[in-house]
Amino acid sequence: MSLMPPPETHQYSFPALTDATALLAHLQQGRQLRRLAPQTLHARYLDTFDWRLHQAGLALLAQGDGEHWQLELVTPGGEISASDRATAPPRFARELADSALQARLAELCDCRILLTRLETRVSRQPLEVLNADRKIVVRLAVEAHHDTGEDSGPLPPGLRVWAVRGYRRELETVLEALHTLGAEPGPAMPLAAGLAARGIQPGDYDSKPRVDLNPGMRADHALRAVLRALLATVRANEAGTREDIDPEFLHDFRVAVRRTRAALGQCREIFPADSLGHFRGEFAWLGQITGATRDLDVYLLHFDQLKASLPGAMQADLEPLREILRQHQRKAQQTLAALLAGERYRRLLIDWDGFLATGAVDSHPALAAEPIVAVARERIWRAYRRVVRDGRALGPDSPDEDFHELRKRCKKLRYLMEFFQGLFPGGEIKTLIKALKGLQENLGAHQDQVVQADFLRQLAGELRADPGQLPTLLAMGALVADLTGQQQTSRGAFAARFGEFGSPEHRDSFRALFHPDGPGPRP
Amino acid sequence: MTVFATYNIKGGVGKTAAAVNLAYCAAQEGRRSLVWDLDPQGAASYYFRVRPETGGGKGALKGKRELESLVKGTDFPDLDLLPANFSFRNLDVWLDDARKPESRLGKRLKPLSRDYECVFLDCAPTLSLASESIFHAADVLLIPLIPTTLSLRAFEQLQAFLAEKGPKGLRRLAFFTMADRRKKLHLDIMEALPGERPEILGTVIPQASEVERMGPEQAPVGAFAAASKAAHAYRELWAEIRQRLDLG
Repeated sequence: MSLMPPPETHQYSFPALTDATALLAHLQQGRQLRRLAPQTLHARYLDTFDWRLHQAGLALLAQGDGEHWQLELVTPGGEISASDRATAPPRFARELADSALQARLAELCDCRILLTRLETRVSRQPLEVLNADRKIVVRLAVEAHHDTGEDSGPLPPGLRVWAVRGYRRELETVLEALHTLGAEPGPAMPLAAGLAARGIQPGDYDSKPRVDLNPGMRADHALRAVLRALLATVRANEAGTREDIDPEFLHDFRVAVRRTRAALGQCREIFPADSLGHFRGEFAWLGQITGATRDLDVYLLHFDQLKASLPGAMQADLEPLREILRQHQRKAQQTLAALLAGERYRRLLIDWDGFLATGAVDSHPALAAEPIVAVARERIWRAYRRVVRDGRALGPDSPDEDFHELRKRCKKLRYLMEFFQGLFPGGEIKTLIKALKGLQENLGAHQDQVVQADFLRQLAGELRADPGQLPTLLAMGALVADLTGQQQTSRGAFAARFGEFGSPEHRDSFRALFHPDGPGPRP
Repeated sequence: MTVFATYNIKGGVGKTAAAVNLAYCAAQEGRRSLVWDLDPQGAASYYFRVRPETGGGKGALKGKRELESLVKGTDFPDLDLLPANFSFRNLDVWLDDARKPESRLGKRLKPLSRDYECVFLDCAPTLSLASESIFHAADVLLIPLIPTTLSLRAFEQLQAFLAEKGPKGLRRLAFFTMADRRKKLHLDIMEALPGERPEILGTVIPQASEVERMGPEQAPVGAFAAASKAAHAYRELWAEIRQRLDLG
């Protein structure tokens, strides 16, 4: 019910100190301190698999006794940017009640699960600093942390300081004393030491792994480095995909597979031809078996938005569709999980790993020793020309498949530009990627609408037999109409988006960066 | 934000104890509450171990300084204090010089409404320009009554004054304090009056040593003797006030 933000708080860690008792002794010197009853709590440090909070410079700490949890989003400077109470540490942002904290987490983490990165048992000693009138002027708590999972010895203590309104001078005196004791503003939970003890490096996962290439590198070495990084991404997301922890694991898994396929497409005359065909076929299979689950994931992620596009009275009628989608998703997911646990997938990863380790070095295809920058330039240029050619051929009445084909070409171009980004001037290639992204968003939206409308038509056939489903069928009909309208809008917007992408400036940039003969007349 | 003023023309009737203890009860429920000690004697401030301010009060009333900058957090969650200020001694003189003196306090309180759900004004026992300004600022007048003849006479005087000069819409709720059930007079009055006067609440604050101990303890009764009869009576009183006002 509180209307005001919580009182100003500060958090500190003491990387140089491992003993909370010593800290207490220091604090007690020359100060009227009242010790309250010690508390035992649990603390958890939460972040998504891809470290979204860490990337945003934030740490989500949950501290509680098992029933009541205090959630705090802490900045590197130890300030609390948002906080709330909860009955359990959240698994997803959407589980929390509406609050500033919930809004911030939803914005940053979206549908990603919050994983426990570090868990400690906390012995907390609350203290009150009193003035000459025995009035509380500052509140403190010294915290000793022990990792519950690692027997790593004591972790550095942490400290929380709560200001009391109207006692700024007294607060500053305490903060000054902490500073001289070696306190460092930051999360009270000893994240750096705790993660290091567990061998975890924050930010150790990036869905787009950066591969350090230099322009003079042999093409086969460069491509191998790219493909190895992609294999690591496939593996990193494998468990999460199989267990369906959140939809992003499958998404990243699929992107890494598609990127692998795009890179494989560039390997002719760089790697020995005899093995390539097999791997291209196997990765195409991997792309295909993951498609159904992903389509349903996207559908479920967009469901609220789709529902909101219907007239108010019809929205509730659509709700049974959500459950039907969930059932289909569960079925597709089971099939996928079984395939990912199966022999064909296991064999593919072993063979592919082996090929990248040894198979690519024995023969000498024509371009293997070429400098990568020359190969990259030529391949990006070719992919770009295809996007321009196919895009120009599209009109408002072109078949859906042609839009989809262009979308695939755009993805390929994007991946190539991203693989080899480091070989070209940073600012320019970023601008071009951004322009391409704008076009991809348009094509992506169109494709989602097509897939979703098709799925609804197909589903309508299944539901027709059940008279109880009539309101849902009608709502689905309205949704198909709406999706068709949206498709028209997407198609209508295509020309403008394509025009932006193909603007004279962008064309000049593409030519200057990637044309094998360097800058020349506009294509 | 609901503004309560504990008020009586007569002094020593448990006015400050009521403001401090009721604010404590409200804060314990998680309602952000503020006690504004407008009595230059500073008894409410003393109960919270805060020394009266020597300066800045005039500026705060004139609007040169935000009231918020004078607020002190008490030792209790969700409960803040605007401590007594020596310049409040001259409140009357100063209000006399001001334009629209009666609306002056209310105006200064307005910015606090986003921070607090309940404000308790603890006022000096006079009937003056200052009290008129307080009547205008308050939504509810809480009137502690000792069940004695003199005290009732003062209550009648207040009622008469409010009928003539009081702002419309000012709710009045009275309650018996320092009641001694061993005294026949107390019992007679407490039995007779509530029937005639609907603004008199049913809860009675007894004459209790715990209330007196607020002095040496320097804290609301609920903080050092939560299980005592007096602490219980204040909780009951707060519940009855909330119910009368539909505060939820």
